[in-house]
Amino acid sequence: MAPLDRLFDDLSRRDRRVRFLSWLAVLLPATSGALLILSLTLHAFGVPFVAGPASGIILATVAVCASTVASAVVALRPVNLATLLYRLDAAVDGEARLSSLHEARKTGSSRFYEEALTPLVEERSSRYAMILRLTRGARLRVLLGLVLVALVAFSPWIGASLRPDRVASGPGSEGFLAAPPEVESEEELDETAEPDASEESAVGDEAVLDDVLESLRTSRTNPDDEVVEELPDAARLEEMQGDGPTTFVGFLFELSERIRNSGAAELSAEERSLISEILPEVEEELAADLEGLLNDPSADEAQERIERLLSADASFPEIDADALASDVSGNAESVGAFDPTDSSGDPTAPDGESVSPSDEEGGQGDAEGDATSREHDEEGIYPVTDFDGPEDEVPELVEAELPTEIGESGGVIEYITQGVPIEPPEGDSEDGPAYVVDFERMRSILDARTISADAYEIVQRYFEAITQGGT
Amino acid sequence: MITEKDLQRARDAFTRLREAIGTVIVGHDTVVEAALVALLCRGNVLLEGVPGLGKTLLVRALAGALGLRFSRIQFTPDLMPADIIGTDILTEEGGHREFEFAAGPVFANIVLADEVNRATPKTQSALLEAMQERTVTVRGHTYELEEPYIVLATQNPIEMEGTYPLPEAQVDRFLLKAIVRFPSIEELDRITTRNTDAEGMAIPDAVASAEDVLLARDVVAEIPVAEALRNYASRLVLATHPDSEFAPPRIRDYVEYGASPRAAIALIMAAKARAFLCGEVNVRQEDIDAILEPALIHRLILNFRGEAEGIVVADLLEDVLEKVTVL
Repeated sequence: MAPLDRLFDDLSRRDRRVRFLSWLAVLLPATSGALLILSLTLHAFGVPFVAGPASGIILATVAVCASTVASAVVALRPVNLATLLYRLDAAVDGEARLSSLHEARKTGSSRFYEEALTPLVEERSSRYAMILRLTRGARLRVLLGLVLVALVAFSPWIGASLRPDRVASGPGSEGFLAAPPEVESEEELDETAEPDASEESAVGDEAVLDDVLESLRTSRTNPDDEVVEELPDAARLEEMQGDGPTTFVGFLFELSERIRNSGAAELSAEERSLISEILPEVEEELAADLEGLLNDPSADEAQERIERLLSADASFPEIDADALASDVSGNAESVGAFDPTDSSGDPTAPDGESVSPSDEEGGQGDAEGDATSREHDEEGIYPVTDFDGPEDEVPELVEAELPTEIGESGGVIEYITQGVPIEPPEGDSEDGPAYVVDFERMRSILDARTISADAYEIVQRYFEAITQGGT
Repeated sequence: MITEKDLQRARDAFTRLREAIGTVIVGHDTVVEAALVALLCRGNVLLEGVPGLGKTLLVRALAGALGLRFSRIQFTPDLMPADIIGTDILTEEGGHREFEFAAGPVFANIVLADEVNRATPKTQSALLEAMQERTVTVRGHTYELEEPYIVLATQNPIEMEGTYPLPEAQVDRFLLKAIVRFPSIEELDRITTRNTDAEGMAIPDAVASAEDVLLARDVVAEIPVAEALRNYASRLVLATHPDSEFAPPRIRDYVEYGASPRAAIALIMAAKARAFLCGEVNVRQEDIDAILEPALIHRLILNFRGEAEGIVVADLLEDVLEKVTVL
């Protein structure tokens, strides 16, 4: 190939390249900028833009690919060499030598002028090539496009619009976090609150209890289990359950656990007092087993009696939580009670604000308040209260702002004790403070914690076991 | 195919020619250039200017510098075609009579048609064949005119009474039209000095030959023109048409007819000749721009409104140059 042909080919290639980059300098910022603006706009209006955590990268890839393909299509269009060469001539010196030489070679009519023009063109060949470069403005636009693409790829609002961890996919989903509790209809809430007959029979099964306990032990003791590692709150829940049962069934459950672990069935004075206190109020069949517990039975016998009591499918009268808790674990000071009329699970306080029980009880909660400050992270994960104190300290009530707004009453403030959702009692009833916990309450607590579906199910089964499907 | 030697010889000849004319003609560079361009392009030139500006002297100087035959025809209303092209006359020799062609003044290399618009259209038309075809036909017999051949016609723009404006078809035959303007004071001083000193005005001796001119024509014809510039010339010509997409507003308003395709040919040819005279080996945009006015100024026909408002065609061509770009 003659040097001039090579020059023309080289200039054509350069022109294609510059044309490609010039178009890319326009299309890339335009497409990525448009995607960015669109995503920002949709994000501002709360409209889900895309799904999946890799959405930004996918969109950025789409923008880059579309811009590249469009630019390539333009660049691959045939080069008008005559126009290109004259443009170069005009940029160099306006003498039109390159284009005239091309014309002379094309027509072949003037060999003499072709030879006369060739050295003139060759001495300027480097200048011609210099002109076919991307302008500074185009380079900046390409850079801007790349920045915008990076923004699209890694912008927090694109993937966040419908990130899976923001989606309430149900308790069985992995990575399920607290979805904003939706206000359910009263019928739904009632259905949830009322125990199902089939569930009641299942709860009464000993095998179920053993299974639940075994599951809990397994999940607590296996250090390699990722679920357990991820779910400190589940263990803490169980731990706190051990600190202070608030129902007689819970008390029996604790007692059974202690006997099983220690192999001794001796009761403390407080336990004896509690059983004696509740003895007159139960049915005769149950009373026999309770009395048997007071008569210093063997460990196996005590276990049998407790299991009979738990599987009796009978409801025990409510117990004095303060007495029980102080007797058993000494944590009753911070325990409030549910309003019995609020057992539907409505987390809102009647007037939109609640009084902290710790305030009522001399501000004990203030001392611990810093350790249990609420945390709202940027991605809308709702408060997970951390109890950082020693295990033998009393877990105080913490204020948890739930992500729900009902009508114009504003945000819902929930006072909870770790593991046991309660509200401060409005006043002591004749029978003492009432502590009513249903699974809807539990669900709101569980939802606020990062627990796996398995742990969720275990806790649910445990709860149903100790509440016999009720509250 | 031309050679470097041919190019150099042609350039040298025309350099000498220009210098020789410059010894006689003061100023009028554009007019001299127009005459040389027409000579190189086998064209004719229409010179327009008031009397006394040196039009005839220019033509005589050109003829003298080239050593070519020169004839001058003073056009008058009673001038007949035969007075220009010649006629057959009856001769008798040895008792034998026959018609013999007596060639008219058009049979020269350089013809000055002075005040061409004073002759009747019939006589003016007698020049058409000579100007375009380089032939003259008398009584069915066609005579070739000797090359190089060029007609330089003058017309007086002031004295319009009793004149016969050239028909458009004849005007179109002129490659260029040069406006002979009044000299500046410095030029006038030099003119008076040269014409009033002891030696007086002298027509230059021949510095180039007919062969030089013909060689130069070949050299000019091969000068390459870039495709973009050829397209530019075409768009310039199209822009003179009021219904063209390239036409500037004033062309649409004041022009009745634009330039013909012959104008486009003239533009390219004249641009080549100008590039040659400038020592270039290819046509540049400035060559086309410089030659646009002399090549097109006589080819635009103003409409009634343009005539009434005294529109100057040269100004319209400026508009065209501003409107049309190469790329």
